[in-house]
Amino acid sequence: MARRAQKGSHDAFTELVLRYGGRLYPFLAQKNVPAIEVEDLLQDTFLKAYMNIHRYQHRSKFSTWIFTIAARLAIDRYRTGIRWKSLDEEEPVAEKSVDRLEQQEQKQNLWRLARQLPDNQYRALWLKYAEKMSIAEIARVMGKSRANIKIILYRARINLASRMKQSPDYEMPDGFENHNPQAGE
Amino acid sequence: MLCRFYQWKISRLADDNITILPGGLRRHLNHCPDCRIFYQTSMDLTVRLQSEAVFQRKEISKLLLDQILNSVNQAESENKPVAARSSRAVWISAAAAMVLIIFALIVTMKQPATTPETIPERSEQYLAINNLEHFIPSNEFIAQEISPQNLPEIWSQFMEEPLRKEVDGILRETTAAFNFVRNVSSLSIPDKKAEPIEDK
Repeated sequence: MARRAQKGSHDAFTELVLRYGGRLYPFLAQKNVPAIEVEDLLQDTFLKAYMNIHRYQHRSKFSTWIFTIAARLAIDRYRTGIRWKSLDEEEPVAEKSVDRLEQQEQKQNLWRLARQLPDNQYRALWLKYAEKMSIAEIARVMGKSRANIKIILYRARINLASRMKQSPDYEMPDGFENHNPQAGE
Repeated sequence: MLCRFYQWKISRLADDNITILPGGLRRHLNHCPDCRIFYQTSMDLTVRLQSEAVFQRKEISKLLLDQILNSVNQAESENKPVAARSSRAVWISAAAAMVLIIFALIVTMKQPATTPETIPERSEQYLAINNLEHFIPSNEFIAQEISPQNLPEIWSQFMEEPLRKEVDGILRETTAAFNFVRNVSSLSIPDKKAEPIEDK
């Protein structure tokens, strides 16, 4: 598909947008980021991918390549110091356009809680468990060392477990909070 | 302290999706309920995050898809004229360079030869050229005055002593050479075959 898109096939690129759009959207949807901003970022990601598709070399997976673009754009965008209003004021991304039957399921979804973690912890968790990337691939996408990624994942697990313990919607084994070493970023 | 080490190890195992525990860690978990809870929670998180990620993925809306494709098409249409302009600019600059080169060649060819450096007065070169100008008679003078009869006299008027001697020498040699050729050509050579030389 990527090869066809490289040769200029619009249909192939549309297929790539359909295939990876739904995977990139939750990756970019971080805490306190309005849905419109996530959509804007997603659009920029695909635009940049299209403009640079000739640079993609097939040594790595296409998913790694496009997630790298998205991660860098997100870092650049969020680094500019833009602080969005709290999700309490805006409609939360994860709960947008979700009917009532799904709401309870979403409420108990662990990713809803994970989205409240620091950005890099959430992204590392998403790439690890949703995209099933290896540590090396996550390191490449996030532009960090493997050791750094392992530390981020370790802290993310500790943090997430701690938040699960505090939330009434989740069940946790007793005693986990005893092992919460510097859970913050 | 030891628990922190084992928890880090548990996290590393979760990173690498390893479910078979090393012996040391297994023995520690048997004795440490806190680390056992940590291990169970880590495994639980792994399973839940993997399974619940499916619900987070949603197809992007038709509206968003159209927005993305429109932005791509717009960027593409904006880029094409840019590429055309850039290729046109290359041609224009190449043509301008050619014109400049041709102009420079024409100017160079029309330019007079570089004037030699001024020869300083009183130098040997200056004096020699100055003397030479005296030797060479004008065309009018040659047409009016020179005739085969008075050539030696006229010629000698314009010559300095060394040059006159040189010309006289050439004249003498030429005359001698002429006489030699004339004498040789008038000799009668005897036929030696017809009259063999007798042995003495």
